[in-house]
Amino acid sequence: MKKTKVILLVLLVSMIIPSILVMAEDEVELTGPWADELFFKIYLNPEAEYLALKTGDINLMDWELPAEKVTDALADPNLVTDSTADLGYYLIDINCQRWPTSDVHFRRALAHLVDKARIETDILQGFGYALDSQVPVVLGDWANPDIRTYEYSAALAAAELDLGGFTDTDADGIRNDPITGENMADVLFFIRIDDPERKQAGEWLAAELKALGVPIEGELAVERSVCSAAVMDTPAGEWNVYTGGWGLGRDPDHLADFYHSKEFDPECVGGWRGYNYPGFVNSTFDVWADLLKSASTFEDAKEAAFMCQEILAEQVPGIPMYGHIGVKAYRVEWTGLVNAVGTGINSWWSTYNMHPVGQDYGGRIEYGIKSDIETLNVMTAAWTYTWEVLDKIYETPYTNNPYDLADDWGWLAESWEIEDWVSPTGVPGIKITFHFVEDAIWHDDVPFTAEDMEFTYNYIMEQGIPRYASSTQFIEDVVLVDDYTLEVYQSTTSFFAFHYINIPVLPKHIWENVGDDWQDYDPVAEGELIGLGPWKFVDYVAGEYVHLVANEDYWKFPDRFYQGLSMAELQQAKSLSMLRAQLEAANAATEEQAETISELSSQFTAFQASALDLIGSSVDSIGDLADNIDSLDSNIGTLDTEIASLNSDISGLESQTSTLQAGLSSASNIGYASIAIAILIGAVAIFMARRET
Amino acid sequence: MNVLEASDLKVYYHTAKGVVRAVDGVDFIVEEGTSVGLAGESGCGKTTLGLSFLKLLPENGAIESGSLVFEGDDIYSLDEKTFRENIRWSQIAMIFQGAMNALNPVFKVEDQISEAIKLHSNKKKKERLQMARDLLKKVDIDPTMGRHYPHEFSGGMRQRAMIAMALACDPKLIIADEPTTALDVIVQKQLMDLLRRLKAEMNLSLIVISHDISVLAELCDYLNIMYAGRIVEWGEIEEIFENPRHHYTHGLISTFPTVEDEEKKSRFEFIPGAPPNLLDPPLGCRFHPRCPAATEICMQEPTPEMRRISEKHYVACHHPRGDLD
Amino acid sequence: MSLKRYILKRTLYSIVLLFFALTLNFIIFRMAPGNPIQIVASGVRLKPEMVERLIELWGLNEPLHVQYIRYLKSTLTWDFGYSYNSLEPVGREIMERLPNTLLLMGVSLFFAIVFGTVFGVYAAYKRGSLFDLTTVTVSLFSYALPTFWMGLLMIYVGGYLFGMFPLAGTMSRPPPLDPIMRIFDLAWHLFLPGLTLFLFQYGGWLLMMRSTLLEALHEDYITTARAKGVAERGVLFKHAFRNAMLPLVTNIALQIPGLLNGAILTETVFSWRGLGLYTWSAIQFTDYPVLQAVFYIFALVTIVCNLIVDIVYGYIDPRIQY
Repeated sequence: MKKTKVILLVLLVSMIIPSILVMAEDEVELTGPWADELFFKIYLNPEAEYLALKTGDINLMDWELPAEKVTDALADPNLVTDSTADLGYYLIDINCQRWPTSDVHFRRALAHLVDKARIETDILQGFGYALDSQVPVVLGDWANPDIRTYEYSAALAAAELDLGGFTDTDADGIRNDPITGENMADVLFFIRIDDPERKQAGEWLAAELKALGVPIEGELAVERSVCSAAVMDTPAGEWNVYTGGWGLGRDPDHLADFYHSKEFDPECVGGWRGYNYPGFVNSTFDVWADLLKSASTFEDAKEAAFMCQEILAEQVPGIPMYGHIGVKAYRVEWTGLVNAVGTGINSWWSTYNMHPVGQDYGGRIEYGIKSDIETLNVMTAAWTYTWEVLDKIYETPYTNNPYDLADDWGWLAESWEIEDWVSPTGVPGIKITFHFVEDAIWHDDVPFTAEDMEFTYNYIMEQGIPRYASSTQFIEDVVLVDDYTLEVYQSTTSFFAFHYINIPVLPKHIWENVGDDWQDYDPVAEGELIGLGPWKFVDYVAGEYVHLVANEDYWKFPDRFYQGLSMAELQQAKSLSMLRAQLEAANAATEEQAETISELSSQFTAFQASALDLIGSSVDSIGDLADNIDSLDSNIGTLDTEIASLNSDISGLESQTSTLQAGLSSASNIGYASIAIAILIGAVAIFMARRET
Repeated sequence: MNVLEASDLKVYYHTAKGVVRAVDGVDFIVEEGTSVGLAGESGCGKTTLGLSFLKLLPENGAIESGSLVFEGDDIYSLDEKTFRENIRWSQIAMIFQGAMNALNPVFKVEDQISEAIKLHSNKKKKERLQMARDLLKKVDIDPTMGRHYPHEFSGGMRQRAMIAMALACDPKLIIADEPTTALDVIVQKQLMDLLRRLKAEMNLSLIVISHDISVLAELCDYLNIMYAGRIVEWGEIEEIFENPRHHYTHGLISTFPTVEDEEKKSRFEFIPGAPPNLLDPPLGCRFHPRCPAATEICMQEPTPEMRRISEKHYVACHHPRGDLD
Repeated sequence: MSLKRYILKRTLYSIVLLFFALTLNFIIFRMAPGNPIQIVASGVRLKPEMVERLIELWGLNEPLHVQYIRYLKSTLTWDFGYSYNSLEPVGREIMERLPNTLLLMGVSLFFAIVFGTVFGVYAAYKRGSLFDLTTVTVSLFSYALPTFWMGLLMIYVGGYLFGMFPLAGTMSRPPPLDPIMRIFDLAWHLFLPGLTLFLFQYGGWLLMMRSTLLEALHEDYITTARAKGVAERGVLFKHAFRNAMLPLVTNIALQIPGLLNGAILTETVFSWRGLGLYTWSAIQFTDYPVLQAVFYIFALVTIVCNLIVDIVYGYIDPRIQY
């Protein structure tokens, strides 16, 4: 091993491993966004993207650094790196339908031959962690820590083989088949060579097995398409061992999908052998898998998941090997990022919370993504990078703790109840009652109601939209209780069914006009990319960039007005808000003076413009207003003279309009109030300008 | 008076394998109004000699020594530009062998003729085109054919067009390199008649280069026999045919039955052996390895000098035919 | 046969050829391994409901001849169906990208032809000189360098080390508002990918120009021209060049497929949003409808270019027999 690699390994192990296993929980700010703009820049060449991060063209990037870049990134003082485990795992798939791997002792022998410690140190070199369960630790509480493990030991493996009857009876160095008594037939290995890590691990296993006197065919090293054809797509199932791997969702229900006997399709009717292509058929497991899928409480689901893991560990239809750890980087000028489980530092929470160092808010996040986004049509978008954008614009009923995938947090739905329910046809299911927030409004200022959510479910079911087919598969009925309460009836009792229905809410007032045209609909071209989320869509140029700005009407938008103000500013701000209240009172009182008010308001507009110019220019020259309260005061002084002249204008107006004699005093009140608005707007402008600097 | 007089002309090609002495000390005379034949086997240097009169050698070829006097002036002493403008085509024109590729395939025939006129006169385009058509008419081509491209002409027509082009600037001397090769006998005859007629009409001097003795017999007053870069015999054509003194000439003449003398077919003979490699020609008389009369002296330097047989008949041989030694 | 009939005949021939290409394009993708559902399902878990819906959307449950007719219709109407990967209409995606590719290819091809021809002619004119030796060596070098590698080098040196050129894309992000500045911005972004693709082609053009010209210089008619007293420049530029033009024109048509190839790599390296990049990502995702569309366009471009060359030949080469 090269010296640099050793250093890297030490660095990474010391840096990464603790953070994965301990998962230090930084504080998460529930309000946001704190930056002003979110600007996605598309780099289709990852090399160029990394260089862009180094030059500062972007502040954050989406992809995991390959090993050689990690060293470079660690050495770069402008970059900060952080690591996170992928939501997925790699395993040795074993064909339970073909001899000799259909013998459990043989499978256990294989499990004893996987040297996970060596995989961790020599192959992964810090970019991964060894794994015993089919539920990786990133899934949090779902991982069963007390399952049977297989110590790496050739002797134990040999003992298992002997136990299974695979002994070398004729002492020719090749073990004999317990059924035929002849020398064993070749064990068929399929090793993926397109992934160097899996290739190495697979080759080691093959060599270990060979050393124990088991003949192996070819150690067939092929790429994915060939593997999938041989391993997954043919009824014959002419393979024994395959270096597999899975990406996962947040729930452990993959256990049921991967190993339930009904997921095994030996005739390939569905075009392949099914998720359970290893052909694991075990009635006890099926019972627990069904329970896992139907359990309505976390505790029941967890028990089933634990049992499933135990059975899998005993029966070994697959040998979990390792999970991958990725290192990602961002610019040192930013802070507040959230290294979320399964995503890393480029998480949704990062964009929601991050802000420039030394500033509480503001700035433009320039986020490099390594792929074009395919479409911004939320109904067809399937591509990871498209969702990098869309999940900032759209909202879902609830979210989860970025540090714990099993911990749901209320969001658009502040709270919910889950109750048992039996459908008219007698199928047991659950009823979910969502209580939505009341102050959420769409980006086009239309208020959000539960009707939007109701529409979303119904629309997806009516149109049969493939992307969401699995989300709505169990929905029997959706009932609108009131503007902010919605009941969803599902024909399953599964605890996870609650997770299926957590999909982006569509604005009904837009999508009801789209109708059957959902596949060709281009919300960008129509200017209708309207969501509820923390970021508002501004502009997208295909292949180049997506520009979003902070949604200041977001119901969780931080109250920046008071944030980070000095005492003097705060005083002013407060008096301004008092003046605003006065104006409102004046407005209410003088209905018959509406005409004057409109005349005045046009003057106000002109005044506002000049005041804005004035403030803008002074802010430009001064730079940071926070350090220059004095000049702000002088600005206010200037404003006062303006106010004085406006006052005289108003009195001029008063003398001209004899019909307004009676309301003269009120009108001057209005004048005063208008000044207040001007100052208010001026102050807002100052803060806007400040944020830009 | 001599139109052209070359003396001790040496043209060498410098190749990767060494120096090829294509023309190695040649004297050559063309009297005004006569037509001079140059005969020899392929690769003997006759085309090189023809090209050297126009200083048109390939890149690796160079005139090593010798002088060329044209109408009393030493034209080798002229600079390249003057030579190009004042000698080429305006004084000495050339008819190339195999007129297929000698005409540029992408230009119209009359334009190609007109170009030659343009290079050596100040005539207007319209006038030049008219001249070109007249010239075509002169060589028995329908003048309207001038608007066509070379590939639309037959082989004979292309050669005629080539002749018309050679006549374009009214030159004193025309060098015809294999003017009739690769044409059928009837067309050959027509072309030879045309050349003879034009020569008489326009008071031309001609150098006719050919491996075909019978063509030269038809056209020429004098005949030069070239072998391995040197002239081995020259003289009046009848004299040479009647009384060839060089053994090579003898062999050459007997190889080709003439059109007139049917009897000579009976004397058809081959010259044994192959022409020498000009990279490394044999010492002494270059013909000696193939010569029936070769003796010791023929194998030694120097190469035999030209010996006078009669006033208009010279031969370079130690043992000329007919001598009693 | 008149020139008109010749053109008509070539056009008809091209249409027949295109039809064969179309059919072959259909057959190849029906014979290709893996079904689309598998492709989409690779790595993600797909529920049966979603699978059924996709089969219906893509018309995979229909008999082959119905699929064929649908394919012909969608291809000829420039519709191309929906991408397996993005589910987006392929025709729209292609129309968005085509201008960028045409710009990149057009500009680089133009400069490659201009510089390749000028330097090629000059090198032939000065054959054996130091200039000739230098240009030929440089051309061989640039011709032999892998495009991908050259592109990365350009990005690293021009974009990162000196920071003079952008690292990716066709425009600044965000682009300038002023339309004039936008054109400059585009040119600035075009520079590195254009240079890469230019170098990819330039060497070939130069070497070909030089060698065809040298070949033409050995023709008999060149000797004739010299004998006529044409000066060396005239010999080269008039007599030899006109003849060397002919293989040059053929080469333009022959270069187009190779150029598309180079464009795929160049666009990938420079994040240049064009057809090449689209093809590249479609290959990555085994996106058959996209590949089918792109292959059709490649075939179309090749056939049309050949047709144009045939017609142009009819005008510039008098020897063409129609």
